[in-house]
Amino acid sequence: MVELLQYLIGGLVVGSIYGLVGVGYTGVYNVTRIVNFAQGDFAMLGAMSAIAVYELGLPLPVAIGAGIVAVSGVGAALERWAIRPARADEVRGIIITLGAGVFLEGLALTLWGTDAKPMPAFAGDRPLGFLGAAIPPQSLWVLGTALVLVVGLHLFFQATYLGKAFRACAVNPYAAKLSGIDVRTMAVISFVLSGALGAVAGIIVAPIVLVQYDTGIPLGIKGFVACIIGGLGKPTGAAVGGLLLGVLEAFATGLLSSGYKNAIAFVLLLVFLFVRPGGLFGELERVES
Amino acid sequence: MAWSLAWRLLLGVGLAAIPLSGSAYLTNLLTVIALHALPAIGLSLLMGYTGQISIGHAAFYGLGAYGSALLALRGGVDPWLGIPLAATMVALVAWGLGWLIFRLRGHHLAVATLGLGIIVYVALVELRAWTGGPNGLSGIPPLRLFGRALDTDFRFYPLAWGACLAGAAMAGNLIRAPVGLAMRAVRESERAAASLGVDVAALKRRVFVVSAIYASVAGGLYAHYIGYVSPQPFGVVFSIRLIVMVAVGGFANVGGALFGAAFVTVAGEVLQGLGHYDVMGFGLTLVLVMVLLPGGLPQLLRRLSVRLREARS
Amino acid sequence: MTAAPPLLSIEGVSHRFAGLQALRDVSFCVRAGEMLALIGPNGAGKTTLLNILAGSLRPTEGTVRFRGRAIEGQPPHRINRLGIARTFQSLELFPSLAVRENVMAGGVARAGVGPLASALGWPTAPRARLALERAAEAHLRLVGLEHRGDEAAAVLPAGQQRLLAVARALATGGECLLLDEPGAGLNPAEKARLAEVIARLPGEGKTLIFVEHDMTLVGWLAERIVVLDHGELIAEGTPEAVRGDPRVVRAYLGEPGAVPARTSGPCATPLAETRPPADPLLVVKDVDVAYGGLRALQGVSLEVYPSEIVALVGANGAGKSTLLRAISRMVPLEGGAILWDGDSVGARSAEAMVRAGLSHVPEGRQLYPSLTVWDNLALGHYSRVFPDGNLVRRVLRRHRWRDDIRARAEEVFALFPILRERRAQRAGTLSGGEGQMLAMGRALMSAPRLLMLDEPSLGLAPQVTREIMGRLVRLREEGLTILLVEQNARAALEIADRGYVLETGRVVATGSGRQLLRDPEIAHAYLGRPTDRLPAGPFPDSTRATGP
Repeated sequence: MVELLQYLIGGLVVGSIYGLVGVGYTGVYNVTRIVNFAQGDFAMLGAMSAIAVYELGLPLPVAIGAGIVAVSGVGAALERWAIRPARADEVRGIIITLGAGVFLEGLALTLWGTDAKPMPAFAGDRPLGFLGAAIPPQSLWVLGTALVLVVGLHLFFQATYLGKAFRACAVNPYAAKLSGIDVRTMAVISFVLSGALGAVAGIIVAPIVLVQYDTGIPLGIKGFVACIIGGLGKPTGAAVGGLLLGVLEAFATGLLSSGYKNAIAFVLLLVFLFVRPGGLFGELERVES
Repeated sequence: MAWSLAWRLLLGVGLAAIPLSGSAYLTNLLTVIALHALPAIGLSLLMGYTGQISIGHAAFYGLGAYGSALLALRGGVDPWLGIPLAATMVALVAWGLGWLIFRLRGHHLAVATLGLGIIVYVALVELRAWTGGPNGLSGIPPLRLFGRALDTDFRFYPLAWGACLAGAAMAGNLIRAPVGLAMRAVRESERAAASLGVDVAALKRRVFVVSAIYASVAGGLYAHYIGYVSPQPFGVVFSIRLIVMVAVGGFANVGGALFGAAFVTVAGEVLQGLGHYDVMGFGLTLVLVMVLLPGGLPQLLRRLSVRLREARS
Repeated sequence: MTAAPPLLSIEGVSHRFAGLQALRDVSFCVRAGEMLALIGPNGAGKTTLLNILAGSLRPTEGTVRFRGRAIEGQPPHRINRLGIARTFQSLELFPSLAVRENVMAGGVARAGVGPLASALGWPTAPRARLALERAAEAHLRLVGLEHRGDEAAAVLPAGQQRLLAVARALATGGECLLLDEPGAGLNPAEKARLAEVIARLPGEGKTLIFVEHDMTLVGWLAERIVVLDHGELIAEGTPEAVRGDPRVVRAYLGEPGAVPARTSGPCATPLAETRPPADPLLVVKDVDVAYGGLRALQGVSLEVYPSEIVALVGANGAGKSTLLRAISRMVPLEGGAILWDGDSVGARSAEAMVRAGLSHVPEGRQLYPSLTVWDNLALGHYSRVFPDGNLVRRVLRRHRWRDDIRARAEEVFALFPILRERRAQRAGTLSGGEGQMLAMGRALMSAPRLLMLDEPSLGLAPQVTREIMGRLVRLREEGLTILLVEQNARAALEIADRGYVLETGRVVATGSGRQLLRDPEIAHAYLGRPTDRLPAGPFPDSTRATGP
């Protein structure tokens, strides 16, 4: 019983990461209709650059901030130089983001080699007890941060003026333009946001999972699976999808074997794609002009 | 792409010169290029001419390799028979998958193919009883011709290039036939193609199968050339490399795919030697080509030759 | 009359989607060798019907019979194999393929050479390809494009692209052709050329059904006309009969006497009776717009003076929406200029125009369905919240804009009280009329100086249209300038001070609202002229490769 609880908590923690990465996809997709295949590499780069700054001797909060800023900048650069030229063509956009992801992976490889980078836990290593299960404190950081971010984003989109303008761009870009909403600026902001979210996801999970140059791809894919499960375009959907995926993976690893862990994500992905591509909550409805 | 006689002669001479030079390194390199060009040509038929996307083609390569290896090791099947047999099985798998995945479009299709590729990879790693797990299978018998084993670079080279050129020729025939026109029509506008009587879904499935066969045959040849297979080379990285090859070649360009394979393989060798720059290089190349040069290297060469001609006159 | 069974028979076809009844019990027949035109105002269901005939849609009720066989619900490629070929309003050519290859593509489905034989290089494949090339040449000659066979389809001018689409459809060997707005965006010479080609087709054994808004083309070609309105068949017969049918006239031009007489007030006297003293707020000077390869506007000029209502009327496809989009900078100009307040608009962005005081209510309302009514309205004020697109400044001026929004919204609620009741409802749940009011309200939130509306009466009951027109009059009395695009000419002209009539991208009449209401030109612009006959050829051959 304790074991199951352990799996559940572990699954929720990993699932929160998947959810955060998934939410990162959502922002970009809503405004630009492009799936940013480099999202996972944003997370990886955020973690690794934060660690690199930390290893230079700077305090942890500064390192974390640096990582977030760096990847946000990368996001803006990606939008400006790679995405904007390819606007209309969906397949081209996919391959461009794929290439960008590979580039970031290569960058990490060149800068930091193949070693996995350890990051110190934010609040110490002693596991806390909870109903008999041992929880590393970092897990609480992950769950807490993810919760705060998702709730914060939800409030942003539902209750603030700018957030509503964002949703307007997603739902009906033609009308948004007619109201004077600058869709292009929104696109840049969405990429910066997705970069920041990705970086945060990578940073908070780095103390638990050893991050290395190629951690981006599986992370990105699972984040996308979370989106598909929840319904592409809805942040809450991505969050729920991520949690579901994380928990299922944890149980599969615990009860079966760890090798099949990756397969779970893809079997789930294919099941949803073939049976219910709109996901659990349906894709965001858009007005086609 | 119709190659002029001059280019063909140049290619023939160049290909013949490599083994004659006596360099095992070069011969090996060119053999690898041929074994990569074959799946790239198949992928260009699917992505370039028919406009579909597949980020999981390494899976067919791996299935072809493992399939043929297992037939030889477990079933004692002669590799000359084993390779086409494995290719047939892979073709059936691709046909079945085609019914499922071509209901999807755009990023859904892209991720589905990515997912399928990874599932195959995981299966190759996990089904140890069949695949030998992460260590793979070794001791795969080589192909034999007239009693001699084609187990050296020099002996295998003609076979590899024979297969590659035959594949290129067949792809060329396909493009020039009416069905090639149908493929390109589907890429430009599925609605219009359907209104002209083309069964779009069936066409996509067929081209998917053809591209899978190309990859699987190449995989089989690879297995009997190297003598052992492990899951490692058949993952997402190889699938993306294939896409880079096709992109550099200009997508809808059979000869370009060959160019692309050569470029990526050689550049990969060079950059890897310099110190892990190859991954970054591939990513950058892919982005640059997609943003600036959708026609790939051939487009660049055309532009350069036009500029040279203008400069001269 | 021959007793032979009809080639195509449409029996009781109804179609419903997204809660909208697009077609209601439509029945008619088409005989072999006939040329039938399918006409009707915007939203009548013509394209839906065409899509049903071509197999892209399965009707919710009813049957379509081709040569006696039921074909409804079959996929498009199978319908084509049975002998029905179609063209698209949006052309859907294969842009990177050569002109000849486009036509050859029409024949590939029947080429009969499998992929295996093709790959192995069996001589059947090259032979089939040669046959396709020869057939393509013949079809290109038929439409006069044989000199441009090697060029990429994308470089052809609009008229020739339309001809190419027809050639491609012919290459499928289909005996029944469905043409979707074949004349859209063509100049008179190109139109005559197209008509000449199409007129020859029944002689080759073809049957033609075409959807058209261009009444000149219909007048030239159609032997019989079927008129749809709001999804129902309201008239069927010869062109003369249909033109004179009062139901058809009403469907296109609207109900007479729909709006109550103008109230007294500062602007009760129509301005156009006397020359307006003020400078025009908006000037459109000799504007050309090409839109998706089609020539949408040619040399269009108009003026809008402050505090007047200007109506822009004309048949669908005349270019009215395109003109509004050009003014609000959503589509670029190919020629001419637009002046706002005397200054050239130049390269200003759409957002800049909104900030300058222009507000455009688009066709079909275009709300944000998943946001509430209040949110929709609030977002209409965006350009005032971020006056230079500058986000930082907004953060610094915290409370003012929120009060501004509330104040403006109060004004909108005073105009449309129903919106106040529904403020917390999601916009997607509003009725058609309420949605139109919300769209107008949203446009008013930016405190515009000129309000442009694109077909506000579309899909609305006459009662609701009356209400909305009444509101527009009120707004004008409060000093707002209004440019109103309407297909319902009568309703618009009755409240307008001045009006312009557009026909296939050109202004064909202008005057005060009252003058235009009595002008027979309007009826002609919508329904064609009674003496239209196909002009005799030969035409200046615009298809010769002497340049685009």
